[in-house]
Amino acid sequence: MGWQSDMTSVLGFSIIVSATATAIAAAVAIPLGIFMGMREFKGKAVIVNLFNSFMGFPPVVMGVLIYLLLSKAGPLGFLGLLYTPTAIIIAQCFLCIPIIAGITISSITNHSKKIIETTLALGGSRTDVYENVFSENLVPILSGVMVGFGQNLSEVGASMIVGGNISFFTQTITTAIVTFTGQGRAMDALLLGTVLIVTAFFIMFALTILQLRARRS
Amino acid sequence: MVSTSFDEIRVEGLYFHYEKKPALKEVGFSAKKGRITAVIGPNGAGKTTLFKVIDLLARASSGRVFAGGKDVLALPPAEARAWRQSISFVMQEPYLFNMSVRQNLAVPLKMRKIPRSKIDRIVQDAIIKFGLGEIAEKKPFRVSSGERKRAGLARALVTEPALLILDEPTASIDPEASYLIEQYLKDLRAEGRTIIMMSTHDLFQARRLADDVALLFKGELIEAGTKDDIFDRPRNEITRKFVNGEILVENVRESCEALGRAPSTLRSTG
Repeated sequence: MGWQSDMTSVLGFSIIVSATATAIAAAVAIPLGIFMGMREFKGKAVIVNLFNSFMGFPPVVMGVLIYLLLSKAGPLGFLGLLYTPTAIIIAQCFLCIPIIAGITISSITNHSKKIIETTLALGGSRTDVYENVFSENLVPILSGVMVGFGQNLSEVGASMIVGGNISFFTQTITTAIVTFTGQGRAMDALLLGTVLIVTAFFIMFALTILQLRARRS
Repeated sequence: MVSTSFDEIRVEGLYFHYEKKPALKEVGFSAKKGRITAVIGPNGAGKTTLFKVIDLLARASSGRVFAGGKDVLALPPAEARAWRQSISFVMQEPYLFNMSVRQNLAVPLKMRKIPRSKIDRIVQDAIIKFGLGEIAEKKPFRVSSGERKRAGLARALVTEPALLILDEPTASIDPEASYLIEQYLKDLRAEGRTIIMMSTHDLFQARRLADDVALLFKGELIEAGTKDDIFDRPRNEITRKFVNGEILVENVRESCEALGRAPSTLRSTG
């Protein structure tokens, strides 16, 4: 019972941390993606390629970078955020932003010209233009959010380095799997892995339904 | 502020450059209320560009577009929206938003902050008038190309624009859908409240529908006048060749030669 309750709290913690990081990343990346997708400017291809490259940024390297930033000797060390849930959220945010922004930019670059022209031709304002570009690209944008959330929930390197894998404080389900494996508790690790997969499946399933509704509504 | 009601639109000395190349060169003509003005010309003549400039979707290099006593190209950005709200531009492939046809028809009305109850009534009237009942609740991807064009036209007309611009309103749709759209345009002309400006490749359609015709060729306005002037008494050699179909044959021959082919049938015509 105790093990189960521990696992529930670890699972809950992982979901909250990853969801928070994804939400913050989406709040930054979606407007950024819409803004960049709607505009043609010199160097856009370079920035888009940069975002696309960062989509595959190794979480462990992100962990090291955020660690250097938040460690006592680092520029933000005075905030005392290292080995806290906030540190994990920060790291996951930076992992997630390029994914959501990249997918948003690519979708909007390909589909926005007709939406912009039609909205303006119908007598819409700039706000109407942004609203329509967003709503007409909702499905791919939600795909970006889903991919980002999946990445956050399953990453282990960044959470381990900046969170410290402290039981009942910064231990996520993936870092717990690593710990169990190290302790020779392979079956427990496997069980946790199964819980993670099933949880991820249900969350993604719910998001997919949301996405389908967006397509139909 | 441009008046939302005007009897004539006059284009004067319009230039537009695309990547430093002129796409419109000193274009000037006028279109009047209660008449259909067809802008004809081959592909790349500048018809769509001209319409986008009038709708302020593209910025002219120079020139003027007069309506209601004002040059709309000189309007400050704040008034550009008011101008667009007084006219309607239906693109060649009207983009319908990812919502039902009924909701699409309500979009321009919502943008004008018209009360909900009034919107519902106007939209329902348009659905009946344009025969959209069967597709009213359908999403755009479930409607045919002809239905999409009809819905686009209905959406453009719910706001009762002073100027209706149609870019190839019957291109790539079946004859029945094309016939329906022509009938709507004739009805609209008969009502006499709207300036109707349309582009078409179809010279037979221009003859059937238009009152006035303007021929654009390689960005230049070759000739403008009444339908009879252009088709029966062309003053310009290019106009004569275009309305007789000779320019089309020349263009096809050039395209064939560019591709390294020279069909004997085309050679024998020339």
